[in-house]
Amino acid sequence: MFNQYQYQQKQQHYSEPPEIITNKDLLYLQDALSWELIASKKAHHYSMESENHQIKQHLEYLANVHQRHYQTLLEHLQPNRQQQNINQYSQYRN
Amino acid sequence: MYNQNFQSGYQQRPSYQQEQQQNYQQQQAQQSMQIKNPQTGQLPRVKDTEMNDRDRLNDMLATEKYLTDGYNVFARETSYTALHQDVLRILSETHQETRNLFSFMFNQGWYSLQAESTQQIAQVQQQFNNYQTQFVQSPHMTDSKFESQTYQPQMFK
Repeated sequence: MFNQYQYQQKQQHYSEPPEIITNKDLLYLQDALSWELIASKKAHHYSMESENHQIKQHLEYLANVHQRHYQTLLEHLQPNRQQQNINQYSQYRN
Repeated sequence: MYNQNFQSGYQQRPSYQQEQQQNYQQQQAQQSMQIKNPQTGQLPRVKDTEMNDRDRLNDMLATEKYLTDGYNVFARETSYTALHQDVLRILSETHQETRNLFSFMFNQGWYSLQAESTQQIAQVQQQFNNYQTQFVQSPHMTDSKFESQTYQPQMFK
């Protein structure tokens, strides 16, 4: 992937942005993480309240879906990732 | 689409406008038909202030709808491709869950749909058939053997 950037550097052209989280990306990630957290908690809460087995089951399934989405988004915020990608990007640019 | 019949099962006094709407729908029903499952009867007969199962599923449906709106904007605004693709996948899965909830509720008999009359559809079909003269290419030319159809935009990864 970074070889790709290296190659592109010779041409002074990037066909797509590097894997660096922008300020805008972070704001949207924060929003989406909050939505997923509350959606998952709510589905779980409703599942506890319901007395219908089928509905309980479906709500519990929904709670899991939202938890999975939460984890997918959180992966993008791994602490070392941003610094590594910025370093790589700067290296090939200079 | 299914917002319109959102409250159709509740025993509420209809407003004047709703009554007019119902009269209209009854007239229409002579030509068209209602699409609805029998209610499974798991809801309390007398509606009280407590949330019931239908309220809970309706609230989750509203949540999923809200999420699809949010993710649509998010997917459009992402910078790098890997993030764009993850968000696009979550958007698609959230749409699927919205649909699953709708199907679930339809199965419980909590949604009624109204079939449109054949005359009304025929009229619209006629109208947009006629509009086709406004396209530069005549319909048979959208075939792939024509040169203008072989162009594909460059795909960026």
